This record gives sequence, structure tokens and C-alpha cells, in this order.
Amino acid sequence: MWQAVRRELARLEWEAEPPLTLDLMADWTQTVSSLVTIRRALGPISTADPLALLATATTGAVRTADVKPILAPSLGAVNAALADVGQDMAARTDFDRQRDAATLNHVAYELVHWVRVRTPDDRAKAWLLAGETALDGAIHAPASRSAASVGLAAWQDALAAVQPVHAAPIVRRSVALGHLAILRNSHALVDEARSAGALPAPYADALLSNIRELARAHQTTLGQIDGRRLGATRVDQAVMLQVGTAVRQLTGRPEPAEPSQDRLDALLRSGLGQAVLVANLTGEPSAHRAAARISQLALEYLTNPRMLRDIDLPEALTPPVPMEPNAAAAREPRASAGIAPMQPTITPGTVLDGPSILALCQARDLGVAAGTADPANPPDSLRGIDPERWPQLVAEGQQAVADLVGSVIPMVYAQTRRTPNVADVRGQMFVELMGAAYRFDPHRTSPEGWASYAWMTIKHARMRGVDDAGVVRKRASGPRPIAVAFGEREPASSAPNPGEVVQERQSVAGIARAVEQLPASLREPLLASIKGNPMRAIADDLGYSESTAHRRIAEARDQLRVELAIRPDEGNWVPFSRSTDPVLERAQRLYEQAFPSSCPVDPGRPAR
Amino acid sequence: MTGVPLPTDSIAKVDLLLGQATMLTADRWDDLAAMIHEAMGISLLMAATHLSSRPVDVPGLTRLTALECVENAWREVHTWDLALAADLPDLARLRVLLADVRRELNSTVGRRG
Repeated sequence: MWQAVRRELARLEWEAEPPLTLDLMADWTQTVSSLVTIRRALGPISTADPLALLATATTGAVRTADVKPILAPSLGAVNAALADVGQDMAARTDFDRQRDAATLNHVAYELVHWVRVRTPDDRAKAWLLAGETALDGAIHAPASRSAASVGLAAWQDALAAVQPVHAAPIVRRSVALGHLAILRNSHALVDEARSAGALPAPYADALLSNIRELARAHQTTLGQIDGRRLGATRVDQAVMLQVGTAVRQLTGRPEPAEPSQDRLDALLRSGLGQAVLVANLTGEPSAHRAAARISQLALEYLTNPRMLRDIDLPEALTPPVPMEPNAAAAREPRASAGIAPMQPTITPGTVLDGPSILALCQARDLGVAAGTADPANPPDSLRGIDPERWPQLVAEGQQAVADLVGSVIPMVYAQTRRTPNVADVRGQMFVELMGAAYRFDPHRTSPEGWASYAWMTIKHARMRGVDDAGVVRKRASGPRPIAVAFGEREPASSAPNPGEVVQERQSVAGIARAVEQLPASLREPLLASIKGNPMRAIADDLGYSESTAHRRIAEARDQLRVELAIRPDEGNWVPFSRSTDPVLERAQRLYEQAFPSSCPVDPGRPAR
Repeated sequence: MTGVPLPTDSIAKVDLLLGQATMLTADRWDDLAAMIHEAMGISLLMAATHLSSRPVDVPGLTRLTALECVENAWREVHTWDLALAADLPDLARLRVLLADVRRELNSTVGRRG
């Protein structure tokens, strides 16, 4: 089925004198129509589907103002081959949905990349890169891109971020609360899958009973934490921000178009939200057994993901109405296919007022409904609208999303200035913004809230630090993931300026002076300890007991700490390469000083 | 910013109350628990974003039932100025959720007698 497409792709790259087109973007729009037609034949398309995002990105690219026509090799032959695949797929029912979807993503990825590198306009290029990034994520991600998997990625990131302060009660509380939400969601989905026969009953039962057991353990954990003193320190804020952001993403209303088996798949692949790690963080003994069992069951699923049968399969396999390639293409936004031209695109960064945003959201929702609805049984929003007009609504919906994204594009550039791998980061942010434009609900806040929502979305994307393919972004010179300011000072920069280097040298000299000023009885054991001598050797050398040596070293450190205490207006640079987060560490220290009784310092832990 | 002072202490109280309600309903697997979790997620993020400057206490928190926790949280949220919606984008959702949860819990308690 795909041989002709493969052949044409090879020709596109290797043919010495290919036929040319005067308008690459027009060719590309037509090709995207064919790709979307194939995707439609494979099943319903959610707004998070990479092909849906590619279509939106293409709309954005095509309607970028003042883009000149591009002379390039024609995509006509590829397009014809794709149209044949679409026709073939519409006529058959025995295709392998998963394999064909993967092949389609690969073909689309290769093509959008080919088009992007031949597009000279930077703004159009940025749009195309967004489509490429969405496909890249879908190809390389262990699970399909979905709101659930994005939330779980944020959750995993939050669990990693709170490790340096794992003993703090706020960590145990926030993690237990967040994981309870994940467990309840998992319970509902597993239960549903079991009832629908999508999961083997013994497997589902084992999963359900362990989920309940782990929830009981979290209940015990929460019952032991005194919440009265939580939420007042910087460390509390840092932890709550990390975990709260992830929990908010996980507990929000699921995207209606996201199939429940996709959500369950993402949860199972994540070991139901890293149950073992959560059990270790909460420290409740009864949690370990259930978490380990859940982890085993998740592993079992990973070795055999087909045990989760596609519960929406009957609906997805309904053969679509056969259509001529041209008729199929006419469903997509193409002026040449009889779709009325739309309003010209907005200038990037245009500030939209409330009514405009509301109108764009309405157009978007109508477009989404028109793209997935059955003409025989239209949803309420489409009743009374002639199905002949639906392709136009789809096109207007994509234009509306492109306009919403276009209005906030400058934020992406503001966020990515002087960022390493800027193209990749921008591509990911465009994808995030397109997702946000599809998700934004003007009735939840106010239409004017779109800009704030978009800003928060791309900030969260940056904070998460991991793209949808699970690749950790380089943060060497990026802003700190958690921006906690001390006093009036801005958060730390990752690179010291020359003044700070001098200041640091002075600090070292200051430490040396402070050590010199210590009484000999404290200085000698401290210096021996700094050299790495074991406690017993220090005690023997200086002629007193090991406990005395231990006490004197601790006392020396206390005196040094008081002497060298960093005041809020000093020492705002901390090396980025430290093994633990210095902000959290310092915040933890302040917290321990404020509430020594609620969080006793482990005597075995070396003083900082 | 709206210029209306943020009720950070009250936000912290709501966070405590909804954390407690989540704990008390940890053995529930229905839609009601989902709503409580969503409300808890909102309040956790709100409390982190708008940190209280001092530790906050809810007297008798551990003796409250889930319904009482939700009712107290609902009352707290209703004391907040609606103009804060610009600073707290999830405020409307939280109000709706708490009202729904309160009604559902009330009817459950009623049915149980």
C-alpha cells in the first residue's frame, strides 16, 4: 500500500530534474489534506493528534502574512500516491491500524521536514517546525501524545525535583495527595476497561486491589502529617509549585477527544504514576508492597501492551464512506477546493479583545465538531448547518487556532531568547501553544485570560524540561526551573559575572580567615575532618574520645556558619552544577531552623 | 494584577481543608472523589503560587468530616473577592466544584440517614 509513497519520496530527494511548482505552500496544503484523509480512515482524530497539529501548523504557515511563493520541486506525485493510499484504506478493513498510523507519522514527518528546509520565511518555518515537532514527539514518544501523558511527564519531573528534600513533611503530603488523584483516575479507567472486556479480568482485578491498598497507605501517611505548619516556607512553596503544577494537569478535566484507553495506556506505562518512587517518598511501610506489585503489573503490560484491547475499536474500524481523492481533499482548507477564503491572518502579537477571543474559540469548537461529526447524527452545535458547509467550518476552526497562537507568538520568542537548541525549544512551545489554543475554555475564566493561559502553558513547558518524546532538555544556561527569589533579589543566574567571581574569591578568603579565628580546640579537629580523616583517627591524633571530636567539629561548623551567614543581599550566585538544588537546600535549612521539632535533623547527616 | 489583596491565609486554609477531604475520601472511587481531587489540585497550586507569610491552622481539622471540610472550604472561597478571578484563573472552577461536591456529599449523607 505504501510502496508508491516510498518511491515518490525517494524521487523527491534523488531525481536530478524534478518537475517544479511555483508555489510550494499550495502543494504542501494539498499534501496535508491527503495525509489527514488517511489519518481519518484510521480512526477519529483528537485535537492532540500530531496530524491535527500538523494541519493547524500548516494553516498558520500558509497564512503567514507576506510570504512569497516558493519555487521548489513539486509534491504532486507524492500527493497522488498518498491519495491512492487514502482510497485504498477507505476500501479495506483489514489494515493494521497501529502500523499504518506509525507509517503515516513517519511519512508526514519526512515531508514536513523537507518542506520546512525549503521555506525561506522564518515565521512560516516556525509554524512548520511545530508540526514537525509534534510528529517527532509522536514517533519517538513511548506513548501517544495526550493530555494524560503530558501530565504524567510533569508528575515524574516533580518527583525528581523534590528528591533533595524528600524528608520534608510537605513532600510527603503533596506527593501522597497527588498520587491519590492518579490512583483514583487509574481505578476508574481500569474498572471501565475491565467491564468493557478491554483488559483481562484477573489482571484488572489484581491492579484494582493493589491500587486500593496503596490508597489506604497514602491515607495513613496523610493522617500522620500535621498540616498546620506546612505551606509557610520557601521549601514548601518550591515543592508545592512543582507537585501542584503536575497535580493540576492530572486532575483537570480530561480532553473529551482523548480516548480512555490512551489515558490508561499512559498510566500503565508510567507504572501508574511511578508508584514505587512515590512509596519511597512517602515512607509509609505499607505502601511498598502494593507499589511493588503495581510496578510488576505495569512491567507485565509493557511486555505485552496488546493485553489492553482497543475499546473504541468497533467505532474506529467502521469503514469510512469511500470517497474520491479530490472529494477527500476538498474537506481540507484549500481555496482551490471551493472553500471560501477567510479573513486575512492577524499580525503576530496582535492583542485580541475578549469578544474576538470568544469568537475564535467558538469557530474552533465548531471546526473540531465538524471535523469529527457524523452527518447522519450531528451534534447540537452543528444542527441546522448544512453538512456541505462543514469542511469550511473545519478550515475556519484551524484558522481560529492559528490566530489564537499567532496572537501570543511573541511570548515564545521572549521565552527562548539566548536559549540553547532554540529551534527545538521553539518547536515544542508552538506545539504546546497549539494544544493550549485547542484546550482554552473562555468560560472557565474570561476570554481575556487567553494570554495568561498561553503564558502559563509555555512557562510550564519550560519548567518541565522534558519534551514529549521524553528527551530532557539541556538547561545549562536556561533559567532556573523553580524561580524562588530571596527578599528583593532576583533568582540566581547560572553564570557568575566578573564581579561575582571576585566576590567568590573574597568569600573563599573570608572562609579561610574565619577558620583561622576559631579556637585551636575547634580548628584542629575541623581541619582534620576537612582533609577527610576518619573520626576515629582524628580522636586518636588529638587525644580525646570520638564523641568529643564529633561534638567539636559540629561546634566549629556552627561557629563558621554564624560567622559566614549569607545575608539576603549577598551571594546571589550559586553554582549550577551542585548535586542538589541550592535553593531548596537553603530553604530546607531555614525551615529546619524555624521548626526544629517538626523536622529533626538526622544526626548522622553531615552538617551543611 | 487587580489591586485586590490576595487572601493568602484563606487560600492556605482551603488547601489544608481540601487536603484533609482528599485524605478522608481516599477510599472512594467515584466521580465525587474525582471532583474533590480536582478541587484539591487547584487549591494546592493556588497555595503554592500565593504563599501565606505565616503558618496557618484550621482548628479541629482532624476531627472534621469530609462534608465539613468541603463546607468550610466553600465558605472560605465565598469570602474571596470575585475581582480576584484575574489573579486566580481557576477561582470560578473551584467555586463550582466545591458547590457540586457539597451538594453531592450532602445528599449522600442524607441518603445514609
